[in-house]
Amino acid sequence: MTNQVKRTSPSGIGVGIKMLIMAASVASTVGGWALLAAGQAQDTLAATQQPPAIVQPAPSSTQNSLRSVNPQAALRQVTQPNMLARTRSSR
Amino acid sequence: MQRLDFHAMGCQMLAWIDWDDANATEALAQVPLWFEEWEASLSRFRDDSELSALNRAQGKPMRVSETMWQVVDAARRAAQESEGLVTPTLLDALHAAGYDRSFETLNRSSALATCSAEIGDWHAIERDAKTRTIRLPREMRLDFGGVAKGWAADQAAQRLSAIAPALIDAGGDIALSGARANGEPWAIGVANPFKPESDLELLLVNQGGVATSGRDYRRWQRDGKWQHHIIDPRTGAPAETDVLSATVIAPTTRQAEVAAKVALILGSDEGIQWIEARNELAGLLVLENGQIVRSRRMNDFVWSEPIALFENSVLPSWS
Repeated sequence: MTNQVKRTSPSGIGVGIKMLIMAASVASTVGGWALLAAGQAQDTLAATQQPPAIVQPAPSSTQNSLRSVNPQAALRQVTQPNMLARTRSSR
Repeated sequence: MQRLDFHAMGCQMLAWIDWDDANATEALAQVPLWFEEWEASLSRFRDDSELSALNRAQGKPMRVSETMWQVVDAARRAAQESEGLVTPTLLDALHAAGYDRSFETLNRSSALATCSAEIGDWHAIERDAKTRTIRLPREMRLDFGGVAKGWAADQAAQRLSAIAPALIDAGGDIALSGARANGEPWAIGVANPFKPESDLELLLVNQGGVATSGRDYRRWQRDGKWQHHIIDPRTGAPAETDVLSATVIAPTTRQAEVAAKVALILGSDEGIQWIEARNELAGLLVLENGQIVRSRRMNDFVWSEPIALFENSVLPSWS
């Protein structure tokens, strides 16, 4: 006696379930796209509503000059400063 | 390294040049002469000065020297940068406060008439560059105060720097022409206003200006109340402030002098904010209650910590 593989033709119920699954899959994909699109829209909206980035003004030569002519490395190297003058209110 | 002490502009002056040859000696000897020339032009205490002549011009235009032209320009810039808090149009207010003669001859306990005065609008100073003439409104008189001293210190340091690195100390306002000959910065003490012969900090600076504005020295009593020479143009009277002295480092001594005065007039809260908002400035305020307030950038220049005697950056209060 041989076992035969019995092929059954799809019943109406099986086809219905399959279609439901496919529909659900399509729906979830479309839903995902929709959510993604909504998220993107939200991001875009957020981007437009964000305060403008703080733009630092290009430092002028005057603004730079104090630090550029007083490099910290050079100032820190002094081990035994010899005081040469004293700032105070006008004398 | 050579040093020269002299007196000018009502202050004790000091000049250093970081070189030892005869050229440096000769250049250093010129410094008091430069200051004498500038003082002769810019002093409000000399009847024969160019400034006194300008103040007597009664609304007529007057052709001025290059020195006067530059200092008027510096004073206008100071007024602009400080939004009018440091203005050359305070002479009447200084007189009203009792500062009507040089500080050395001032009767410091004299009782004087009014205590505030109208402040002229510095925008009304008219200049014509083509003819180098200046016209003041009829009722306006100028006093350059610390701006002239800062300008002079910057000028002298710049002139000496053609020979060697130099430091000019104009009564506590200090101009530095660049790093010393050995490449090291200059070490500048910040006087303790409660004890002027000692220092709160030691600053290391290569180039620029360091100035202190304070009401700890040039002060006098009137009707039992202490007056001082820092006029608040908003009231026309000596500034009422919790800051006893303000020290600022800036690209020039003139700028440092102006910023220190602004910080003192504004008081500690606004004053330190004003300094912090300007990248080119570093500041240190000593308050009447003994507290020390430093701007963030000041830490770049401080070599020593406040002396250990005054823990938690609080000094004895002032009375």
